Amino acid sequence: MEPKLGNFFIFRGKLILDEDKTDDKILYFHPKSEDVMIKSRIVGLSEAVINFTEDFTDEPCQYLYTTTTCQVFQVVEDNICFVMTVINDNKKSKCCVGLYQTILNIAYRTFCFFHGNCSYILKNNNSDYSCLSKYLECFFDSYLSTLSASSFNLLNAEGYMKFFCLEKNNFMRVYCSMNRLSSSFSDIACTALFFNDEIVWSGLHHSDMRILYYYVTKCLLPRSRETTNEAGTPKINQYGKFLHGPSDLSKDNKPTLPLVHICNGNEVVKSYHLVVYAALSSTLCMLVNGKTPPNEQWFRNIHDYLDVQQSALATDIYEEWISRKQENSSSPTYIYINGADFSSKRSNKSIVEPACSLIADMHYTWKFNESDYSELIVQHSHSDLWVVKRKDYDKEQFIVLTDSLNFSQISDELRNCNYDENFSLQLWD
Amino acid sequence: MAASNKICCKHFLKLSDKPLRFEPVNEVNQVFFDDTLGQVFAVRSGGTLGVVADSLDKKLYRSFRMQDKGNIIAMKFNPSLTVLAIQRSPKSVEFINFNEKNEPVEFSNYSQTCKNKSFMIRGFNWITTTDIAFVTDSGLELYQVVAEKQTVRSLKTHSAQVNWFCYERKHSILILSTGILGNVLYPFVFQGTQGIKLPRIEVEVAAVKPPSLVLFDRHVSLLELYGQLYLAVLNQKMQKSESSPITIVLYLINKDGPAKKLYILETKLPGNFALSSADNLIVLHHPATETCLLFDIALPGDSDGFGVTHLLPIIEPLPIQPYDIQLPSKDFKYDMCWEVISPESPYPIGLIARVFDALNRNYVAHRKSIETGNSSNDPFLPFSLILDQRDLYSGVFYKVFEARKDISHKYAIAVLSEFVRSLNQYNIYIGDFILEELITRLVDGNRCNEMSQLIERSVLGESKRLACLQLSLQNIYPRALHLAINMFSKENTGGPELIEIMLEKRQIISALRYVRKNGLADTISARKFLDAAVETNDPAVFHATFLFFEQRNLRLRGDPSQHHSLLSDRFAPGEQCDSYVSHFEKLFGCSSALHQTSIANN
Repeated sequence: MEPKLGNFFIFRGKLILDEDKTDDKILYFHPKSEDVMIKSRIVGLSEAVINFTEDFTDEPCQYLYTTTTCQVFQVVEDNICFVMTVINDNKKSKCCVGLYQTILNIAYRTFCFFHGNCSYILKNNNSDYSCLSKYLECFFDSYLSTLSASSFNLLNAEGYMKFFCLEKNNFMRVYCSMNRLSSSFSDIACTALFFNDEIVWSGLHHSDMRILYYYVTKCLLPRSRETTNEAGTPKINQYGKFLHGPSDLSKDNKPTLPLVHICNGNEVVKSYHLVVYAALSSTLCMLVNGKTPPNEQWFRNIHDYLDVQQSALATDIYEEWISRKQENSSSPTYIYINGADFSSKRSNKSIVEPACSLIADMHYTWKFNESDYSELIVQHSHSDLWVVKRKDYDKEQFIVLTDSLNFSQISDELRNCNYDENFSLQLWD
Repeated sequence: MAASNKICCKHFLKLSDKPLRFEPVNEVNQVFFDDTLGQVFAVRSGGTLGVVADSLDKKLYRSFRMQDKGNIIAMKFNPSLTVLAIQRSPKSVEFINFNEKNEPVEFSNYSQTCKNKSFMIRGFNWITTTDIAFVTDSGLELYQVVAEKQTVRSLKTHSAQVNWFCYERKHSILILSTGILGNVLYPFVFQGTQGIKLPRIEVEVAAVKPPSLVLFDRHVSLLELYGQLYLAVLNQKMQKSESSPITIVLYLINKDGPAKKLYILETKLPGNFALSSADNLIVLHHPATETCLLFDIALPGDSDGFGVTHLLPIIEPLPIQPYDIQLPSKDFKYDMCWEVISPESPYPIGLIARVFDALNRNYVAHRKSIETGNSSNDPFLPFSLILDQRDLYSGVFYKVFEARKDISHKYAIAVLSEFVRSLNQYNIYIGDFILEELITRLVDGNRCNEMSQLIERSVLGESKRLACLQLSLQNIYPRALHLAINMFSKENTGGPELIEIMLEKRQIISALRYVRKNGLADTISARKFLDAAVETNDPAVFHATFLFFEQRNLRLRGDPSQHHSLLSDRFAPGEQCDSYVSHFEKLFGCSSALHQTSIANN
């Protein structure tokens, strides 16, 4: 049994209410089918834990760990508290609190990305909490459905972005065509280009990009793949089409576009319409200025502009991508994580259990006594598996060694694969 | 130019600031134009009240009187302006000699009729100072004018039924239109006193019933482009209906072989065009829209696989800049002014990108031809103006950005990055001044995120100067420090500076890694590193640094314990490291990291 989502709820803390009125307190609760009494009991318990621990420390309580569950808390704004409970019946696989905290944080940030933060919604709706509640319900009902069991399989949902570092001439072609696009369509404020689930180019600040990345790779693209598969068409789209935008350009139907809220690294939040266009394996996100969404003609113009051009770009990227995937099959299994820009990169070989759990623990949990530079070598208790973690400020590198080795052999191994140069780069290529 | 700055964004052509002024056609004044010498003749009262021959080239200005001998059809000076040929009847041309004072010599009046009384002279052209070609409806007649003797000698005749003709002076090419449709063209090249007939050019035209002339002289034009002569023909065949777009076919005229169809200009506009050329560019004037189209055969186009290249206009059609004087005659001259990037942007980025590519392609070809010493095969190269990035930076970017502070960062960044892309694509080393401008723009435009993506992908290259620029940016953008360190470490000559910077930034382990990788371990000062390591207050960093130097000294000087020396001798007295040894002892309770390790191993 993999760890799975037990419940997910949002409530208002520090409210003095009648015991009967706990309904107003709960802004959102998943699963919905849960009995009202049980809901309020669960919420009450969580609030009690948070309030109780406040007496002992200034740090807010972040999680509650039991033998079968792990509950993570995040008080976001105005005493609004997000809570997620993960159930883990399997004694062998462990819970990773750090990962769950990240998942919860991304859930909250994704909500803000699409709706603005809670105070913003309250401000626009006369501080009506039932209205906020509707927003939350509308968003999280569909969002939580994307949190599949595999999301809790440690490294699958670590919230780090994967970049595909193009060779410089190809990258410049992409960069310049993005510049041309936004100079031809002046209402396009910002663009980001994906190839499969890797970022080729991003014009957004990494804190916003991280959310967009999560949304595109975990929600939008899987959903679009499902619909194309159902329609019986091949997996690779033959022609460019809008994923957010009109599905049929010949009809004059106004598409509903998501409004996204971008902070660009500072506090000022700006809203844009999110238009997404896919051609072959590439996905282009465009953030469009304007009080109202663009009209039909605009979409037609964009389609005419992008159709051939983006397919051509995608083909070039594919060629580089395929040639890159073929090389370095003999290199060891590794993963890089850069905490500064939430990027990650891993070897072509996939990382399997128990290395996965070990890395998750080394990354999220074992942060004791750590200096800016460190090296940590861990052996798995029941196998010949070794994991080496090297840390350089925000960057972490994990190397998985599967042979039976002693310490000096490990250091030989590490010396042989000299990662230093790559490691010192932010996007390791 | 400066005065008309406001409107020049909408034009790439303007009329000359110095127009040619002459008296308009009226009851007493007649006007003739000689397109070979570019002279305009204003003839008052048949010449008795004066003839003024003027041209943009003021050396060709003449003013004189002559007898009124009746109606004038055409008049043309010979190239040395010593003989004036005047056609007054369809059958003959008369000649007037001019003396050194540029006055007509009295009584020097002789003439030449065409070979046959039934022939009609369609026109004439001076081929050389002495030779003149008459084109009649039945062929070409070549004569030699002996001015001193006031006689004319027949040199040669070619018979052909002629509809019309055109002539280009510099290449001495004359083209006769023959055939019922007018589409069979015979080029003649004049060499010495010979008129050599070249293989005919058959222009494809749509058949008409009953057959009649469809190709007229207004449809063709002889243009000199990049030193070679081209015949431009408005494509009649494509013109299925009045509204279908016109294409223009360019034939390269070969003096020793058949003409080659090389280019097709796609105008995408219907209706009539007038053609001219300037600066090796083809200018098409489209009266219906009152705009001009520019084509450049040196730019790449789509090849049809049979040697014909289809070209598109290099810029959107734009009108000629309006001029505030009324020109009295249809015969006016253009003085073309070609601006690549006007301060009055924005031009589409895609167009600018093509200009950069063209410039850089030429630059590379030029470098190659210098390096190999071979003249390149590119026929356009000798005519290309070779601009390097410094010219563009100082002549265009810098000036435009200085003059127009209102140009958005977005636009400037788009232009600069197109330039960087083009330079990278042609493998041209990019000067720091371009990259600095781009980086500054990105930082000012709050687009540091883009800058780091460009640097991480090595688009901007690695240089000491850029690394220092990154260092200076770290207050605005913290990641710039790491970018700088990466740049320094890739740029091989940055060693000492990089180590200094890393020590200053307390990145001691990075510095040691760099030292080890570059084989500098034997020469660096232990004291400097240990001092920085103490400053970090991180015992692990200090331990690692201490161990590093102990190991180094052991390698350099051998094990002191073998020589019964004191442990503190691990550092030579000159290294002044005693205080660090005691610091180590204080932290770890042992005076040697090496010793410690060996105990642990045992």
